[in-house]
Amino acid sequence: MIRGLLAPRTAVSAGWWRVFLVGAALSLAAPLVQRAPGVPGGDGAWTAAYGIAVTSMLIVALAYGARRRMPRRGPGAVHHWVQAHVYGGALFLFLLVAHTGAAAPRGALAWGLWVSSLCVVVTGLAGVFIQKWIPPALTSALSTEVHYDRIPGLVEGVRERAERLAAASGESVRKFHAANLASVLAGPRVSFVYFFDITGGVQSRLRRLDYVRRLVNEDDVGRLDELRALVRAKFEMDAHYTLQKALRWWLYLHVPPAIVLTVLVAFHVFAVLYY
Amino acid sequence: MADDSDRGSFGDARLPVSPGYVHPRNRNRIVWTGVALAALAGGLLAVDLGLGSGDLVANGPLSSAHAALDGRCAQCHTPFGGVRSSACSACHDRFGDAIGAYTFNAHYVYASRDRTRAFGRENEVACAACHGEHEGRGRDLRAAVSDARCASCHGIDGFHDGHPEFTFAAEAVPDDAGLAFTHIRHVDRVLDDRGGENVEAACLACHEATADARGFQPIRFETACADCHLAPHDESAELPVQPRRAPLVRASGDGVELTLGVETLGMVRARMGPGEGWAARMSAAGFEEDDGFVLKTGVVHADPWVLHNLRRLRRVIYPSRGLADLLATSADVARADEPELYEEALGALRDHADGLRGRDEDWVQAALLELDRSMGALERRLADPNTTLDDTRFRLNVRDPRLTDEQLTEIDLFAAEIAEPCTSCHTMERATIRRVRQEQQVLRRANFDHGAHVIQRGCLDCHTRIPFSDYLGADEPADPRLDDAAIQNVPAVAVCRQCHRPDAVSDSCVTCHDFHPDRGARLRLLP
Repeated sequence: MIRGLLAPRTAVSAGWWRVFLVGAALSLAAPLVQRAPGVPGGDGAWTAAYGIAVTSMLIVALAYGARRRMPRRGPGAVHHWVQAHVYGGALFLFLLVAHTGAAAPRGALAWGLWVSSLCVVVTGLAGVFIQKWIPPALTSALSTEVHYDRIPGLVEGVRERAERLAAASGESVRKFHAANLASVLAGPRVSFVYFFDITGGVQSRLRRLDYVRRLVNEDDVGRLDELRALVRAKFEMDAHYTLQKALRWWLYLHVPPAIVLTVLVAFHVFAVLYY
Repeated sequence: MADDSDRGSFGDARLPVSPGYVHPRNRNRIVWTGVALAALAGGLLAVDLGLGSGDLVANGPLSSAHAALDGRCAQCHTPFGGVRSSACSACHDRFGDAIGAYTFNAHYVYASRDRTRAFGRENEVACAACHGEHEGRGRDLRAAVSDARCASCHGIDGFHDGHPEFTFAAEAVPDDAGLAFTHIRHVDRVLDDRGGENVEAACLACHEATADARGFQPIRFETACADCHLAPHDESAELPVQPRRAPLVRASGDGVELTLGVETLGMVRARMGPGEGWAARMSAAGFEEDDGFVLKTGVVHADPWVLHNLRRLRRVIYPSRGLADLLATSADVARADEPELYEEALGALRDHADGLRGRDEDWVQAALLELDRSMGALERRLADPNTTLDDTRFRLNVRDPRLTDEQLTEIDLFAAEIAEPCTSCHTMERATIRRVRQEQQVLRRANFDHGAHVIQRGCLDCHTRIPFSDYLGADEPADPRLDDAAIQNVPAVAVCRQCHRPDAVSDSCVTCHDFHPDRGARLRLLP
């Protein structure tokens, strides 16, 4: 699973993947080494070392957000920063487990740190997954590509054109439009079905139009075909709308918790140093 | 703005191509959402820290023992200084202890007996390093010390894996109690007298549990032995009286000439020297004198007349009188007073040596050298709880060089004759009845709770080195080698491991060991 999410697909990410594997192995091995007889440093020293490492990983992951807001000619290539963000974030979780000794948190601040850390890492991994899955899925299975911010306007245009077509058609097409298509074309719709079937079962949903096509007169067949193309385009835009919304909204589950986590870590570091 | 038709269309539905650049919605909203949430969380923590109890920032509730300190962070925490051990000592050493009862130094001295570690060093391990707080009300700070803490210095993974064999078992240390005692014979006698076959009940006839049932009270002659030993009709051997004209020892050429005899009660009464007040209280009716010999009937335990005559013999062996004469006899001194008495004597010896320092005569320097060596040895002996304390320690242990080995043997034999009523139980060493060690010299660094064990296992389940069951009630007495007082009838570590193992009874370090020496042990550590 984790390899599916994090495994490299390019030469650039392959290097980062190896760095991550080494880091994860060290994070898992360190607590075993720590418990071996004769190893110097008390528990406190090791815990502090893990704490410094996990805070460093957080800073690395956060730095990506700052780099994104810099001009194109900022330090380092952005794709390296992305890799550092993803693999550093995953390593953060390993180091966090070592830092806490895999013990249940105690106290409100510790719970806040754990929950926000898990939230940030899990939504981050989810973000990696959907960014690897959704764009290819949208481009491979749908006939249209559309910008997310244009979808409401385009759907409105589709609705108006459909209404004009229906108005120009015979009574049976008008009634069919009013009863079955008007609500479908009213605006962009989010449907979870697109997460499981990128087409949203469009063929079965258009079958009713195909059935009506056999019942209308010759003059309305052309309008009905055009209406069918509009409905199909609307369904595809709904697919785009749903999945592109996911691409944008997962950030609300990732970025705000990350900012909260940063503040909580700052408090934690202060508390450790002060107390 | 250009018309849609100017830029064409796409898809089967001929959707219009965008007339211009599509401005994405403001993405900063995500960041500001996060900032708002973070400000809320940070504000709550800051208010709690500044004005509240600090519970939100605290890493969990304090233990029950420290619950009174809730919300008083500064009581223990020093800003940017962590929890200093001095904050713990403020309460825990309130009643004062020169060595610092809870310091690492005390632990180190406890373990190593290297008293140079007791002073002038910073604590190497802070209290908080082992006693982690803020882990809940139910946390027992003494019992919750992880084995890893101990292993970091001691290099032992755990009791079941790596704990060395107990020293007495590994080195075959005998039970050097100073007694000639036969366990099987005594248990057999108790069973005969009381009837029944319950060996453990017979054990408890003499070994009386302490009030807390953790151990056993010291066995006292009066309660455990007097029923059978030293009855009123018991007599001493018929001993030659010291002739008035012939002293115990007399110079003769390069050597000495011995005339071994005892002083009668009348002789002591006539002199009544220091420490001889017992003679005035002792009845003369028990003595029978006839033809230069004396016999005492009704020898009592720690009989002053017997001990007095033994001390006379010791003066022959160790003629350097010195401090020894300040001490009455080892048996006269209450056990609890012994350390104080001997420390006082050692102090007097030190003063004497200090008075000699600075003089350059050869004999003074030689004497000082000998004194320093002897005082060093004496200090070590006093610090060693296993050492017998008696007045020979203050005679510098410098044997009269004029005495031949044959004369020493003669003295030893005469001493054994004087102490003949005593030697059926006590062992002797150079005209001295050895002090009986009431506490067993094993498992001294561990805590053992007999009460907790005896309700689950019998005495003989663990104390297996003396084969009681093979010989009790037998016609033939047990082989003396199997029923010897020197047999250390205490189990080896393997016996403990039968129950104390990871999947059974607790086997953590602190189950048996205290990091901090108890007060009794600390007394012995003080210089």
